[in-house]
Amino acid sequence: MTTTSLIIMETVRNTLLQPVPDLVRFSEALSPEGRTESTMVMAGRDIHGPAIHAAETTGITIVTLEDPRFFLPNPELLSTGLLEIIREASPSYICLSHTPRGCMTAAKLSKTLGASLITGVESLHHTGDTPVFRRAVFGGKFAMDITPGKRPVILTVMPGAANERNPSAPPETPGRVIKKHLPDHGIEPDDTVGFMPVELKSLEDSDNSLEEADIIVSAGKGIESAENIDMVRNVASLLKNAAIGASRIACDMGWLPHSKQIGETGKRVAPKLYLACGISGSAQHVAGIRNAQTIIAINKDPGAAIFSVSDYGIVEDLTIFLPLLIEKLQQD
Amino acid sequence: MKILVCIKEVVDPSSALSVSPCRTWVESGHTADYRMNRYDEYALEEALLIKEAHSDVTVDVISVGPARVTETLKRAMGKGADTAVHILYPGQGTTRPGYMDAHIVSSLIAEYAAPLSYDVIFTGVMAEDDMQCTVGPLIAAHLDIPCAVSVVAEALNLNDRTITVDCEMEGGMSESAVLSLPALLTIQSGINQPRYPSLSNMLRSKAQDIATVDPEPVPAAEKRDAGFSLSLPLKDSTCTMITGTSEKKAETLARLLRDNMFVK
Repeated sequence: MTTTSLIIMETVRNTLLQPVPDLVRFSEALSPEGRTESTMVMAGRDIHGPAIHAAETTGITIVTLEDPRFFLPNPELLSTGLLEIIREASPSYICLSHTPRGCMTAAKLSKTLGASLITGVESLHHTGDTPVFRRAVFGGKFAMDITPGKRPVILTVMPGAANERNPSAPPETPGRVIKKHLPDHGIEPDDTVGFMPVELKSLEDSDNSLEEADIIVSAGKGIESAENIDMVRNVASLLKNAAIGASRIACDMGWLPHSKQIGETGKRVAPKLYLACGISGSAQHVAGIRNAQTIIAINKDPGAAIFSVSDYGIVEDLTIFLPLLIEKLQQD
Repeated sequence: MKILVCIKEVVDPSSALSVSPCRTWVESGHTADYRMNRYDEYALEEALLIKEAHSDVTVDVISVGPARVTETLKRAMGKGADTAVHILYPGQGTTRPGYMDAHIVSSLIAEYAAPLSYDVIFTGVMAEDDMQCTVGPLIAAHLDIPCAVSVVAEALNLNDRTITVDCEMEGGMSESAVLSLPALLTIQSGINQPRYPSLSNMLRSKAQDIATVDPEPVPAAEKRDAGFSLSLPLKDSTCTMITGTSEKKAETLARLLRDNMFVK
């Protein structure tokens, strides 16, 4: 039986937000022999350019779903606009990027289609011909393997979920590009579907310290209080060209400003050394530190997910350990 | 104006947990801390802020799970929610927390909410335990109302019955959008500073009953997944653990940093 897959790509202001090869590689891996018949749907306003480029680099068919209302992300409209294409293609799998918007489109589609829904897929393997999808639970402390029971299977996929696969050779012939427009699917230009994008905003941020630092000492929930941030500052002050970073929780608690937040929705950093203090290591955070050369984690929870991406780990309570470390760094 | 906040009780992911013998969920020791899902704290606070800013606003809270979730619902009332409803998760008994299917949870909440015509429904952006990000949008799909996810700011416009939201995106961007009411918003952490319960509200919640709904079992055909199992994640790096006394570990780390010329 042929495995068929529909990849859904979003664009923002006619530009792709996620790299195309990630999802294509994952889609290929869905069939045990790596021979999935993949088609990509790209939604946006004027996206012929990105579509042609994707068709040339991947060799798969690209369906452009063009509408002025897709200039900015519109997961609400997308979940209705895709229905006709999905019914026509009747794919075994539908793959989206794992973002809150991707999850929303996936959830709405799964309700309408009666489909299986698995979000945040980190990897897949096969038991016989059946794919089993692995996702993180409890902040990455445990992995959950899920065998979907219904077709189609809708997946939101983490970056790098098919990284162990070798990139495919460039295709000899480019894929086709098929143009579609929303009104072809019974959605009229004045239908608002209750969600009207207005504008895109960028966080005002002139803080470049994280990008420029060789060392980042980063604080997470394990720091426990705003006062204890001083210990992190003290450690950083003893290291060469070091800056302070933070996990989402540490920023949400008001211990450090959001401009210091590292992760998927914050900053992506590439220091020589990343010293994670009391950071549990959610996938969201780890996405921001993948390019760090060395990661050292200190956490009192021996099961914390951060240890699985670290080079060195120390199980300790920070309030006891950091003063000792400061003392040792000040010696000689 | 009627607001519904959907709340999940979770076990603190940083407590000592192990995979349950049937590998379908985790087991926790007696010391494990069960509490309101952190993202739902922000969702509830956002609803309470609306209640304080406008007249004639009621805030109801709802939770699906075993009997113990009434404790978390009481805490929500202690913070200022007006009424609370508890729905038992079908087939799980009243005591054991476990994995709950997002499709089942969302259809139970939607079934309860549909006849009550809520103007705004809030959920957290995700649950800290199963991390699915799907119950909110699934409820919206069941009720056929618009939905905005990962909301980091919102403002009600009562005149034209809309709500303006900022949805967090990747890379320090956000998208602002207008939704017609009724609508569902999934709230991102950091949008506000959740309050602590007040003594007077806690006393009131003690005196108030929480209605419990015991739904019919879900037919097997409704289940979307054929199977799932939990395991410890594979380590994708070889992490060298530095061991010894606290003092010894500090010494080892200081030497490591010094050897790599990281110290001033």
